Amino acid sequence: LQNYPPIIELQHLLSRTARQDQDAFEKLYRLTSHHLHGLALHMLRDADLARDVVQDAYVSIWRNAGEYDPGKSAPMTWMVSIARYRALDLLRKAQPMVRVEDAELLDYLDQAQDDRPAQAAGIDDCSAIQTCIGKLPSAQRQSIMLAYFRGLTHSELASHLRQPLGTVKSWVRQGLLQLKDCLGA
Amino acid sequence: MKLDNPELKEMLAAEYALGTLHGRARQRFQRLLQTRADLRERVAAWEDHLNPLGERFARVAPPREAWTAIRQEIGWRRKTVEPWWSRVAVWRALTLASSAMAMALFIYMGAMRDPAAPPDFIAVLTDANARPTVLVTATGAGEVRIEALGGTRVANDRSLELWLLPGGERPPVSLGLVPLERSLTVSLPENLRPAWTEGVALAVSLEPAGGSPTGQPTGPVLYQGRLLLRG
Repeated sequence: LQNYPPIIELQHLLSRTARQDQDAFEKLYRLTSHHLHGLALHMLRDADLARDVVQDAYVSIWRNAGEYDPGKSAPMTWMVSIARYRALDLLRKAQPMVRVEDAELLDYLDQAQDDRPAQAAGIDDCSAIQTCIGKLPSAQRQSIMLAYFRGLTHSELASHLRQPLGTVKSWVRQGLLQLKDCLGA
Repeated sequence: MKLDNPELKEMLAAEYALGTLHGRARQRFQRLLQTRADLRERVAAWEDHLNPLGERFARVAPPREAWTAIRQEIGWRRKTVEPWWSRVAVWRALTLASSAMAMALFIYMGAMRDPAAPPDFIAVLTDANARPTVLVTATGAGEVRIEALGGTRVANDRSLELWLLPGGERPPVSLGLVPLERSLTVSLPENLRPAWTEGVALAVSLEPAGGSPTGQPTGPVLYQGRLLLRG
């Protein structure tokens, strides 16, 4: 499991970044950019687009660090949100037909990333989301994991899973509802 | 969108955070987020739920250019050392030595100059030991003559380049390569004439053969001096 840097350190660096402290921002980048870049590579499967995501995300983090509220979310959750939305934007813009996939990169990422739930993969992780995802029926779990990690749309899920669109839409919704119950949201 | 329905609202927030909301629905939802605090609150809650999953992405360091591009985009000033031509102290130290040298040479040349074309300016550039190395003379019409004095040598793969240092924040302007045989006469560009005044600094830097590839000095400064008004 790829552990994040300590929350307290990232919070400190973000609050200094909000005061335009360049050294703090540089350290934040050093500690976290490989996480966000890994996310972008996994979702986009394209080195140039992934680099764009990293650039856009950190420019946005620099400009919006003052809006980060430590009382509301963990620093990496906040930063992952920024990078993931940017990756989704680029993913939707890119033409999947002409996107060149780097086979070597894909192999690397598939080895490094495991779509099974934490327990099944033997990972000792008790974060709420991991536990709750593990409790979902497999079709729902697979749909949500593919949507989260690969950024697939409903119709992409349908063709990937060879199921009617209505069926996968319902799996995603049922899965999310069940997650909400499990997470006590 | 019937966003009074709490279940629909919840589902849209969840699918937005998950990423399955796309196309026009996603764009409309993003617009709604700008005005609806209740929606923003639900989206933030779902981001909190889902994004700890992000910890399971593989870690891959981004390429070096990414950081350079970020710094440029947010407008950080590059942490550079002060350019050598703005270090005034260097010049102050040398002014006396080179002025004295120029004056001596000036008198010497005065004895042998061609009375028909007297140079209006003269500069004797000296090395670190105050030895004269390059002579620069200029007419009022802007003809600049550059001449290496005896014994000034450089490796085959190097050239000596003469620079005018306009002062202040303005970068050096190349006046050409210092010829090692005979002399070179160049015409001072019109836009440099105002800067061509008594006291202006000149310098010679060591550059790759053919001169600086960047248009700015890249190698060490070997010789310097100041322009003196003649007569």
